[in-house]
Amino acid sequence: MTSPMPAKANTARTIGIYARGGRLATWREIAIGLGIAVVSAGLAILLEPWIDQTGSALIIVLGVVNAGALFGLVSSATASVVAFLLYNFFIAEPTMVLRMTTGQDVAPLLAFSLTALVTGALAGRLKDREQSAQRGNIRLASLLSTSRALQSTVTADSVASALLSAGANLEFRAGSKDVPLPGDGQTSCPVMIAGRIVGTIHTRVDQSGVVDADYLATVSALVALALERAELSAQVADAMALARSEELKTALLSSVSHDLRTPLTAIIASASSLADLGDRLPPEARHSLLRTIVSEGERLDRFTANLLELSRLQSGAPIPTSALDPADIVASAAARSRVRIDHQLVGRVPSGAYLVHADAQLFEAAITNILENAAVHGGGGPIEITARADGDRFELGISDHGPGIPEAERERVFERFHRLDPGRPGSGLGLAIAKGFVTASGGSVAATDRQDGLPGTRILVSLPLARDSLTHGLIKHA
Amino acid sequence: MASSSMPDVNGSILFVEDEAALMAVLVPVLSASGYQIATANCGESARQQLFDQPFDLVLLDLGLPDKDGKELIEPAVAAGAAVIVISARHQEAEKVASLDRGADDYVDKPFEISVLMARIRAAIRRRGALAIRQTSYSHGPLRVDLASRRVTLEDQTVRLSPKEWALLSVLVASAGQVVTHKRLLAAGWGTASTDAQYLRVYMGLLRQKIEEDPSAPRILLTEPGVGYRLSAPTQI
Repeated sequence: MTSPMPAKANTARTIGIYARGGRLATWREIAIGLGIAVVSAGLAILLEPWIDQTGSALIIVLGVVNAGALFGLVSSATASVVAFLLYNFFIAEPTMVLRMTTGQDVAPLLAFSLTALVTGALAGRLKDREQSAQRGNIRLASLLSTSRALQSTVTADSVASALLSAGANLEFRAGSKDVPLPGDGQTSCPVMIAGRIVGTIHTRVDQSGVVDADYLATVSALVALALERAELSAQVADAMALARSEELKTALLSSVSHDLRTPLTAIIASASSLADLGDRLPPEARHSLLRTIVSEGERLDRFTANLLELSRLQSGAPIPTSALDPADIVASAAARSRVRIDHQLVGRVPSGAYLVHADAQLFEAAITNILENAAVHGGGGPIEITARADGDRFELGISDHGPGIPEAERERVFERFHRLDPGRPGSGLGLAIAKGFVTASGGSVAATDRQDGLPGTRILVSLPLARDSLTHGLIKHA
Repeated sequence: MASSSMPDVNGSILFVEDEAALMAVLVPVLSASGYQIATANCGESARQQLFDQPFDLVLLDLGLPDKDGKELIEPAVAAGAAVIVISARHQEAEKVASLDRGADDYVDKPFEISVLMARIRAAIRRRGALAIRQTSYSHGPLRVDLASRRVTLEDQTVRLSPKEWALLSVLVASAGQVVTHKRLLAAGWGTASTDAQYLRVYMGLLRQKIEEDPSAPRILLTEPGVGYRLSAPTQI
């Protein structure tokens, strides 16, 4: 078991437990056996005048058995050989020679030697078993802790750190660069997944004394499993993300298809009616068709603006912001949506009072969406606009007189395709797009109660005030 | 506009639509074209009105806020109205399902008013013609007489196989309207489970015989994924 024979390529797996300490350990055991034999033989020689040859033989046997019991087979075998020689030389007649004269002399001597050898061997084997059981336990515990640590890993990166932290102090190096040579079997082992080398584990400092080729092979299998699992769960996550984005794409496409085609249908039907029927239509009908063409054209324009801004956001490029007067933005957003919403706009953002950091197109698109939303869901009453500075933030409130949004829904109304009342027209995208646009400009959007206690919703847009407006005292509270 | 030559094509229409913009366009135009028009902006209102009074035709947008528009097809047909489905959904499955449930025809958004008018006329005419069967069809140089089983192209007799005749007569009976694969297969082969490939082959043969340019058909039109349509007849 403890053979220190040099490893050969094809015998790498038969190397004993003490991969590095084998030679040392054996010499130590032989020395101990020698020592015990000398001590017990010395004691026997000293006491021989009083206790007779048989008594001193028993003392020596006691020593050999103890050598075996305490230090294992090698010690007991050494002790028994040495003790036999010492006994033969110093105690058995004739003393001071290594020679047997009569059968009477030989018989007890032989019996003694055999007894010493057998009992020593038995005790030694017990000791060895105990030691190897102990080592087995340590290996098992170490493997278990490694396995536990590896099982909790979810990414390929965490496999290496889990392995380092898991007792046996092994190192995982990904890639097939550090593949061990066959002779390195005791200190490293390749990790294979489906016959392909994906990395190597290396022994660092082995304090536990449990690392050998078998151990490395087992750990390498565990690492391979963990890596495979990490790879699979990454694939599952990818697949789910893909499915989600596909779902979103489908929903977006069907919304785009509806939002584009509805105004187009109205425009084409109006225009072809005017072309085909012309004079046969009463003047007010002709006028209404022309108005429809204009307003639906504007609706298309708003929609394409949204799409363009969305695609700009999705390109992932950082959105440059500049200092803007929110009064201009709100006015142009209101003009953009006013045609469609025949609502009264109450209040305004005082011109020149604030400067905010935002992207002009995104900001305007966001406000347009919020105004549209208030127009469609706001109960038909006037839409109120408030503006104020709060610390280094600019706050724009857009309030309506609709039924209001229940507390629990106030976060969700900003989710894509979330609609409070599926019975009302809408794509469930307006507020989500508004939020996306404002967030991209470094701001935030929230839905709250109206502040005057009346039923209705207030959408609060918060954007960072430009430093200039703070330092130059531009803020004159409205 | 062909309707100018037939001032008698009037009728009552229930327009079921949730988009105010389309409503604003079609109501004055259909009124000016001599139709009596009622509107419903949701499924429930439509159901109620169908219950209250008879309509010649229901113009039905499938995308309604409160229910799937297709659910209105059976009640409308049961109330004796022809049904034309308007949908932005370009899915063939939706169209086929609507036609299977009894809709007469559909128009895809966006549409030109002349197309919609032609479909409305065809649907109302066919509904009237169920009592007095449609017996002849003419389009350009093509004449089809169902009673005498005669097909002529520029006064030359066109010889059709029995199968070709079966298919053409179904199309003539619904002239101007879409006829689904299913109905054509049933007419030609007695079962709708026949491979639609056969249909394509026979439609190709028919086109060879009745179209001026079979590769650019103007009479026997393909409705992809749904069926075939014989162009609205030209007035004599």
